[in-house]
Amino acid sequence: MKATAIYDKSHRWIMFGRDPDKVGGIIDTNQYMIITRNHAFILDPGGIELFSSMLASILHFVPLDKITHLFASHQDPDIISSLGLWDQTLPNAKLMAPWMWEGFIRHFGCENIHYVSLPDQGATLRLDEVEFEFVPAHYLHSSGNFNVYDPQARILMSGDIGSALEKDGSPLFVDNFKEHVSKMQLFHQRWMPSNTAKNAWVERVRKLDVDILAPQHGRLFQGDDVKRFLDWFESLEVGLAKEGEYMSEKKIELT
Amino acid sequence: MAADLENPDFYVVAAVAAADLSAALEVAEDVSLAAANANAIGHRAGEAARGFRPITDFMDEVARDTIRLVRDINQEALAISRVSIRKMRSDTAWLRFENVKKRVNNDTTSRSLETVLERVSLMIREEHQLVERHLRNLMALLDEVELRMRAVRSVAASARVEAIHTGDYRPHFESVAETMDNAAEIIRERVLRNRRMFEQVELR
Ligand SMILES: [Fe+2]
Ligand SMILES: [Fe+2]
Repeated sequence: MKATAIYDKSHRWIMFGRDPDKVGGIIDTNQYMIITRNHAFILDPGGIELFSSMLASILHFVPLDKITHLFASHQDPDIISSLGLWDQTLPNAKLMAPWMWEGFIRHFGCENIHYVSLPDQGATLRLDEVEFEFVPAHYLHSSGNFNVYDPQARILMSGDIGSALEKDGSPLFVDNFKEHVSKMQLFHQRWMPSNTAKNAWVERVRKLDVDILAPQHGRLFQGDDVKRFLDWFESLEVGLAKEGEYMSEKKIELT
Repeated sequence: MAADLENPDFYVVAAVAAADLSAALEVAEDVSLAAANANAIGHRAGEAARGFRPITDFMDEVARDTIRLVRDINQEALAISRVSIRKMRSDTAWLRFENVKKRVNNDTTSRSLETVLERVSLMIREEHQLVERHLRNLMALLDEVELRMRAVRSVAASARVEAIHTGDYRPHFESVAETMDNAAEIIRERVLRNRRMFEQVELR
């Protein structure tokens, strides 16, 4: 698992991803860890297949007893199906996740970790000198969904928003926005169900000071590309699927 | 990282051990650099440093070997962690099947569960053996590093003696000997710590 510091000042943001040991057939994901003076906070810790690589990578930066918080933006398996193993590894940690998914996420195994429900309107969390914000991002794509905003580092961890489906080993940051659009258009149109929710989110995020927009798949956006992304996303019609795909008379026969 | 060892889950220990070794890797890389520097100085010093040349050659070789060995150890530790996690998942699956089996009183169902249980048991045995094999490899590699570090320390001692004959370059070569000695001590200490980590936990 490759680990890269994307912010390294009073506290640190480490991004993990581009795992060369990843088993075939699973989508590549970005995991993030924030390290403050006394805490480490893992955002979207990832799927069960990634657990051993994640654990090994994380230990390069912090001892286990420093990891006090986990965050799951929503209930998807690529986000949090590793929970059962974290639960045995970090029995005293807290998991911050949408209230509406509690009964679902617990199916991954959550006997020791304390589930902290995030209310719909969002919440804040202070770790040492940093106050993080859980920004509502409902229906993007999950109906109960949050981003994490760090006003000091000016980073918005945006979960599936801004995600792109890319080849293994692609660079960390978007370097040509126009070219990047083709890698994320279908994902946003098909996975994101609501234009209303999308526009409300764009409006919300425009009020934040964001230098890096860090999605859970694909490349990160920095500087002007954040604004370009917001403009592009605002004008994109979502909740679409090509009609032919599911309106066809002919049923596909499976074996 | 004492807290991790209080609750000695094997997969955690192996992952901690792997991370701990990356420091040894940095030290070995420093030695490799020091060897290159010493070589450069040796060329400048010419005849005065003749006795030193085999020493810098040795340093360079041992640094390269150590880097390779530590990388291999790291891979073994990661494999131990990975397979232990897999085994833990198999253990859980076995317990669940066993639970179901206890609850059914129908022979056919019971027999079909028996087949599943046997298959999982076999998998658990294989995973256990695999962990043990990686553990043996790891221990053998740790031995090799330790042996080399002992050799480095004795070469460092003769390097100190040799440095006396290098005239104006003496401080340079003395510091080379010092670097070598310190690095060997740090690496040896890491290796010992690694060994102890694994010895303190039993595979469940
Ligand atoms: Fe998702
Ligand atoms: Fe995702």
